[in-house]
Amino acid sequence: MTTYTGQSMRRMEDDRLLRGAGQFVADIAVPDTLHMVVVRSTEAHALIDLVDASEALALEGVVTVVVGSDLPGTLEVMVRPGIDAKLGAEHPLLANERAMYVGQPVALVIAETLAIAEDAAELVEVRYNPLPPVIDARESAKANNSLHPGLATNVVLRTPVLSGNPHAAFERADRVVKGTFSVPRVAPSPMEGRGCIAYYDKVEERMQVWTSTQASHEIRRQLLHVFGENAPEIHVVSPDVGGGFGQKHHLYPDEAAVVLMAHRLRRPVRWIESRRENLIASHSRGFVGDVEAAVQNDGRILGMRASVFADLGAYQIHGSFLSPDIAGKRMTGPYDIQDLDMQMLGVLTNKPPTGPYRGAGQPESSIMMERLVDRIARELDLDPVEVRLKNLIQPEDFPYTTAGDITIDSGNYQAAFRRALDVAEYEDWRAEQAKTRVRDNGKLLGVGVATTASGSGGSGGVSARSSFARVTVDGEGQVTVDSDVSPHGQGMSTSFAQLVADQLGVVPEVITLQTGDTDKSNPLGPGTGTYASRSLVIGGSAAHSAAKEARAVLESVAVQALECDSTSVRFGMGQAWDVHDGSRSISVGELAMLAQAEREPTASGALEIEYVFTLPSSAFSFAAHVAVVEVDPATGNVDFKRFIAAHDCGVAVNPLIVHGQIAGGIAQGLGEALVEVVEHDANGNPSATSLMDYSMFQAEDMPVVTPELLATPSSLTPTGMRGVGEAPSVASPAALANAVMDALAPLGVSHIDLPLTPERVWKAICDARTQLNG
Amino acid sequence: MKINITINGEARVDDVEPRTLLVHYIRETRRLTGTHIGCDTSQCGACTVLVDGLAVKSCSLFAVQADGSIIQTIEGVASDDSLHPVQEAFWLEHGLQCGYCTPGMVITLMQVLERNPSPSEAEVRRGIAGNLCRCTGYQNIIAAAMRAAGSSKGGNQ
Repeated sequence: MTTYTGQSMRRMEDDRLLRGAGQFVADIAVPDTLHMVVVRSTEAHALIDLVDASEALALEGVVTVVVGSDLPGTLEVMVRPGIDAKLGAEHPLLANERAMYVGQPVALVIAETLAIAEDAAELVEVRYNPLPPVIDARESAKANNSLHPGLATNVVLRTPVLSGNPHAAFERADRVVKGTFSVPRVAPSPMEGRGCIAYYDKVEERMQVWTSTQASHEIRRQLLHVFGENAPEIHVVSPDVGGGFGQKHHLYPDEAAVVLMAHRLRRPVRWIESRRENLIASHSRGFVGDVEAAVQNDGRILGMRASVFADLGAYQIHGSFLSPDIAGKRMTGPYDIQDLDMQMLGVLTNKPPTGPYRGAGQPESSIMMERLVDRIARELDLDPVEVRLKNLIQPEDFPYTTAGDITIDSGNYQAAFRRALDVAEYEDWRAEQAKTRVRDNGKLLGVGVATTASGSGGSGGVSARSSFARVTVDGEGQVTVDSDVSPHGQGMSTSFAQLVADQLGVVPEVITLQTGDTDKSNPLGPGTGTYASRSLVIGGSAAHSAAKEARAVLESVAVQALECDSTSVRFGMGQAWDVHDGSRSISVGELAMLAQAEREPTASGALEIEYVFTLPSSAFSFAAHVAVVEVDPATGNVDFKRFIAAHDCGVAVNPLIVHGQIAGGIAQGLGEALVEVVEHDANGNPSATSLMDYSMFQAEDMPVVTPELLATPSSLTPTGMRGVGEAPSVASPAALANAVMDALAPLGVSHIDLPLTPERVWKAICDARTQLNG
Repeated sequence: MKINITINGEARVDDVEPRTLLVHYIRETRRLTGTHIGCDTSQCGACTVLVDGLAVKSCSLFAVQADGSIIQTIEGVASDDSLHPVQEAFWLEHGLQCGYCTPGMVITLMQVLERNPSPSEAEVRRGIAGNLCRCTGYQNIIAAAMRAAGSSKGGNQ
């Protein structure tokens, strides 16, 4: 029955994207559009004494300048059950009276052309009265008062995890191994920034909104929150989206402002984010933690304690609390560690808000956990592989409930790990390393491994684990699938078509996927968009299930039309036929019409089957990465020799797309470990404001990745798939960090803060040599 | 200022403000939106087009500087019924995900391969050093370039 599922089909969406015929938000032209430019704070912490827009307003073509008092309101912030979160720092649409970070929207200039709006924005005078900024999260947590007058402290989130008896574990341990690890702030940096176009449709009496988002339904809901009591009806469409990576899952103040102003002015308003704005407006990661493990001399980890600080920035956006919560609950990764005392604090600083980025808390916890495991191996003089094998959850222990109270249904972590080691020729590299260390020819060889489990489909409530799908079959046999998840590079038009084609017995080419339109995919029902590696796992399962139901309907009609019994009916290539009498056949389109004639009429006249799929719990996948690197002690430069990525993501729908996700996720993960960082100086100024100083991986930086796919079927999805989008970004930074630290171990270097830039590595080597030489 | 620019075979005279960047002229005046903007400092390469046969980041020129030139954008690369070999190779090798950097990548690689019809993998990587992609990790873009070059040296097995 699976002719197409499992095949490396080339993507159906590619032709128009290759021809430059995609339609991204900035490509949409609406007549009579006004252009918005955002005036942003140049201070990290200041009272705003005055915003003088008189000169800007005097410029011909300027329609309005909006300041904080003109546009009250804050964004909605998600607080999941069971976490102790203090509200009071929700992000305001515009700064009013005080500015809290460099880049915060202070005023909006709206004009007839972009050029006029840009000119006018430069004429808006903002008089700041600077206050001392709070930059360091640990320091901020200690402060006796809060950055926000309405709050008692800067700690706005506590999401502790206490499991088993960690105290006893530490009492009976042979040894305690400790580490302090940081996971720096980074900028997700999709190649297309954010952007929004909105107008009030007088005929339909509602707001029409195009926005570059991963989650049109979420944006609609969050916009309704911002409008408040007298909210208009809102229709949100996400057109082609040029990458998201978590950054585009939420509503931001500038996007909300576009919609509010278009509603107020009754004219279309457009705002397209600049790269500079994208780099300074929102970030991710920004964790630092003290982690310790109670271990036996044989490498078995008995228990863990951790105290982790998440730098949330000055305000919260919708998903700001998500990553710390996930990081805390998933701290133990793929390991069987039941005794855990995890303290996770989310803290305010004078920096931009943080939100989820590919992996959402899991790269953060994995970097800390995997570095700690390597440190355990080093202190006990064991191979890091041995320590992992001793602690990984065993196949027979599934379903396994973690210390963070997450149940993982199934897995075979040892098999995937061993596959990665075999393909990497791990033992050979270790032998080579032993030889080169004796020879000491200058370059330092390092081998690093990481084993990580990553969720897919979300661990939140029912709505976060549910998606809607509608499969429509018309008389011509053309099939439309409506889904509330939407793509920004994941190839859903193809993978969804593969799943549906197999159910309906049609070719994928007759299937069209429609996404991102709140009118077309159950606006009132569940559906929160694409994030948490959920789009295929939940949205695809919904489409699969709807198609399966449609197939059952078609089959019952085929039995009558072909005058045979159900065991004799076969489907394929858009036809149904009697296996015993090949001359008798009928098309899927005709069957759909026959079936529809006996059902409730539909608006389209075609056969329509709707389905809401709810994932029982997060479908965890497993990854084992092996990095082999060479560090040049003269420059601190890290060169890749090999990079192996074994992923058990269950039954793959399209291995070609899975390979693409793995290579892409690794580029982001390695970039994060090696070069990417947004630092803020003592005054709260960001170090990176353009792609000249925010260093994302270029083609020459990227190693050749060897992907290996394993397929332990998930019991949670109808086709056995698990998500894969985030997993490579969870495993790769940890594997790389371990490889570099392994290379430097003979010099006595035991820690370097990420990212491992040549400068930092070189300095650490110099410091170590100075110490060695007394 | 009046400028005369031929894009994808169509010559036109337009009146533009001197400060108009070529990329804005292409996208807004000519409404050819396949040429994308991914940064504001000429780092990302998403706006790469061929100006008189030379791959140029169209954000790094004013439209008036391109007066009299012949430009090819991504919309002019394929014919109605067939893709350019570089585009075809991108399709076969899954060289694109979101598709935002793709037009610039394709144009740049057309020039890379024109100058060096059988490049090494390292030469391909060097050739697209000025084009950023956040989705693919470049692996399949490089595989596509090697395929388009008719070489079996690189890419996925």
